Amino acid sequence: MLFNSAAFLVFFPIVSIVYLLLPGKLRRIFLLAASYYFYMSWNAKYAVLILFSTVVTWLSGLAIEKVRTETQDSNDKSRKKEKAILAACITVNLAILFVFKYLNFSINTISAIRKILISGADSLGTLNLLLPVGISFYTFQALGYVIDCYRGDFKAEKSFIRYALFVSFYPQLVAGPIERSKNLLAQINTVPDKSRKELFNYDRIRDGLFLMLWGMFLKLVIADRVGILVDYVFDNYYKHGTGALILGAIGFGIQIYCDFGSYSTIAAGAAEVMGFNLMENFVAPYFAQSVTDFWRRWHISLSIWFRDYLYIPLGGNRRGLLIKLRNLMITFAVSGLWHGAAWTYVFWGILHGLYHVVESLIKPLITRIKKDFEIPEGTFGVRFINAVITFAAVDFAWIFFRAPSIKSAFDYIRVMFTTPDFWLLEGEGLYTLGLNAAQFRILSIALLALLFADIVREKTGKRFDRWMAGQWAPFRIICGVTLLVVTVVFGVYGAGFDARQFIYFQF
Amino acid sequence: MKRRFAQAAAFIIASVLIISGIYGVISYKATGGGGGFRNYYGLGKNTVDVLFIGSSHAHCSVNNAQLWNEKGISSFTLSSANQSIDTTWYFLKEAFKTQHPKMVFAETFNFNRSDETEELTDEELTNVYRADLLTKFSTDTFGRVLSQQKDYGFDDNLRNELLLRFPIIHTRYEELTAEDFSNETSYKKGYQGSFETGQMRDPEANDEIIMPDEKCTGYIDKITKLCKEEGAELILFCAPGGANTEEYSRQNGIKAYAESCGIKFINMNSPEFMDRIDTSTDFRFDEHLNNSGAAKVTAYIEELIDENGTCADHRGDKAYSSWDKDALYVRDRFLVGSLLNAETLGDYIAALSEDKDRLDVIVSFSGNHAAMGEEGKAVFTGLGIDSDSFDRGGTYKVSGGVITDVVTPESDVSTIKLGKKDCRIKYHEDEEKQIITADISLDLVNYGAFVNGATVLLYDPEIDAVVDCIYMDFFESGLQLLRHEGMDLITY
Repeated sequence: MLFNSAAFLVFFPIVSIVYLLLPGKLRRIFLLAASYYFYMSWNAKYAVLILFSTVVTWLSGLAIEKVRTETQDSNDKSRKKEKAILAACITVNLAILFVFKYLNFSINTISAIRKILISGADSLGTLNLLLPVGISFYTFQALGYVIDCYRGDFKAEKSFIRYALFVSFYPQLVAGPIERSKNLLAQINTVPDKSRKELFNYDRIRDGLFLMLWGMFLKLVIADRVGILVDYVFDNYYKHGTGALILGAIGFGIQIYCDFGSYSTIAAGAAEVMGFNLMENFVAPYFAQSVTDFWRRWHISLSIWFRDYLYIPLGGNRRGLLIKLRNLMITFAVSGLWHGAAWTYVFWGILHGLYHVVESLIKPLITRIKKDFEIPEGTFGVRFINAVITFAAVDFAWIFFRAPSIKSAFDYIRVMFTTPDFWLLEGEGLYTLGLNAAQFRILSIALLALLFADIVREKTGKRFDRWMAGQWAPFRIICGVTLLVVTVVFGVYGAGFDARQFIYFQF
Repeated sequence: MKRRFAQAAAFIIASVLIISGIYGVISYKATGGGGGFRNYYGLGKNTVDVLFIGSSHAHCSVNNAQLWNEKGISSFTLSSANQSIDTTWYFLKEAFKTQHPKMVFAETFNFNRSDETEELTDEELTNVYRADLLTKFSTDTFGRVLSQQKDYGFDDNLRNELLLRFPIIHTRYEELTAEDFSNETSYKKGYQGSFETGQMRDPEANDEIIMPDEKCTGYIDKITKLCKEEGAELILFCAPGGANTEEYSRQNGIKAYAESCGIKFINMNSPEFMDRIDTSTDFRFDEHLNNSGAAKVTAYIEELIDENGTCADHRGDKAYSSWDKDALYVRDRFLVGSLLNAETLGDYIAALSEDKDRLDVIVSFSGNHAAMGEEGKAVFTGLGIDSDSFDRGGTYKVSGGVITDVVTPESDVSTIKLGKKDCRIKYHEDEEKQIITADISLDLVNYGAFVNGATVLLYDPEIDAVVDCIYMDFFESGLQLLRHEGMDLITY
């Protein structure tokens, strides 16, 4: 079920109202059933996978806890057993992930290598498997929980219902944010204790609904509109030149931000309506001052996951510069692979790893230059230039993320740098890229709204809904009504458009 | 808490008001022919005595204004191009909610057509859209959409879009016209005539019968039952349209089924009926009747209404004034039909003679209009512009043959009242060429300005509509009579 579908328009109010009205004890069971219904509306069979993953990780958490409790005196032995349970749990879950997401990719890669090594070698057969929606998200969330239990950071959850709800909580089930047990599971545990008065908190429900509306605006008015241009440019890049291809690349940077950001925003809003507080997943990422800063603002829940469960266990930055650089490269290559079973994603990850490596290496030089030339930190000009340079680097990498193959990505870049077409900006040229003049005008105004929201986030440190909550009521109402009307009228949805899946569903 | 409740209420009320206002603007208005639901819903309650439904032949074959002018019959045509029988049923059901016609004529050209394709064709989708997006939202909407889903087998996605409506209509913001903001022809009852004349083949009459399928007979039964319940006489008819062998056989099937149910069916493609129709003068190029053919079919329908005897003469009744306006509108169209043949200004004024007193005429002189000479001056005198006025130039409003308003070239932007509307005139001076030209602006349309000559704009103040606009421009080759490009005159 897509957030931007008619089905969700019916599902969400029913689930929210029933949840808010139910007695405490029944709330979790109801929410779990609703979450499974939400997931099964895509493919009912794949609910078995999420259930299996849930059972395995839940039992693993309990087993680790049991071993720790029973063998308190013999720490080494206990630690080995716990490690074995953890390893088995990770293996099983990653095996499922591998089979459904990476097996065909691996087979194709082996086929390609065989063809290079053995002339006339046939392609190996692939399996007809459908990628279960959100498998990477819930697998990582569940593994995070087991690792937390293993580290003693979180006590194993005894109730299967509570834990199953943590793994399958519908707002963030298929595209994050990847929640930590300390945050979401802890909130799930307090569900029955919440009084009806607490649940029916007007301000919270209002802010949640506003957040959902803002998310819908990002998705339907910006992401799916700019997506028309992006699809056109990437499908026809060989017909165009520098201007069009730069526009396509920038367009994709905007599309993926608004697409993924909107999912996290709607998820946070839907959760907030029911009294849950999900972590913030995006913080004005294109205002980042460096690529390192970008990853503190982009898909924060995944960045933290990789930092805590991969980068730091690999040694982090505590074992010297070389090990740190190696760890950065490994982490980002794996992050790339997490995003998709294709070499384009791996390349994209490696590129970001390289950006980090370069930034780490030139950091002393930059510091020196800033000092010698007395470049004032924090001024608008410096921040603006830093943001532009960072965006250019990040957006360049997005080309690999969007292109169907590494070869076509390089070809795209080659055309972009070698075929001038700046006259595109004259006359009607701009309107030959999939969006007409009216669509461009709507997009431009909507982007100004996005810019405003990101400036608010940057300047005040408050999420857009929280900032809005502090504004004068008539202003809030006007903004809310405007957002609603603009989304309903100018959104890209309905007849003539395929309801676009959120890009991150495929991960 | 009270304040919060008020805030929430303010948000909801403002959203509902704005979105419903926007819905009114961006919703589809055109029913695909006929008078359309927009005009139908605007009628006074229970004012329609005769209802015509069915395909485009219904609105091309029956002239509602003729029925009104000759017998005072209040009729309305709720047809649409390629109207399928299920759409006819939904239209009829909706029609009976606000009106209780005494007679229902259903045109059957599209009734007995079977479509074997599994995919929803464009024509089917159009029919579905018309039935679902043009009618008012009511409890019937759900049943109708679900029933159509069963008939056409479309997916849940389309079902949801039809129920929510906005997913389908919201993109119309790119194609809005003045018609979306105001209904300038709310009086129209549905007849869509044409002066076009094309040769039509004779119908391929035969005795073979292709019986209608279950879906078709099911809907005929429903239509019959509803008409019976509402006390309306149902008459099925297939308008003249050069039916080919198969189409003729399918109409034979409709006839057979209708007669078995005791319903009157008139096949106007039959040799007996075609005796009334001239295939060389009564059709357009596209198999529909033109004004001449429609007059004959309408006269026949009039006889049937007379036979029924339940429809009163409503002429002179204020509650039926919109039928007067519709008749005026059609009269204006017929006037334009005769004006179209005028090649000179003299011919034009002569063709206008019977109607000029009921119309407002704007005459605006531009540039060296005197170049039109004494001959031109004499013609304008026939319109009510005296010799001195002609010499002075400027812009004149002539009503009932008398000048009632004048705008001189020295004025700034001036306004002349036309019916309920303001017509704005602004003169421009080209100092280099020493020429003064006039811009005439009405309803955001500019009807000026020519260099040397005059603009003649005919306006019907009763229905507040421009009837015709011509330009006389004096070139080296002499006086030319040109028509404003925005006038759609042949078919209306």
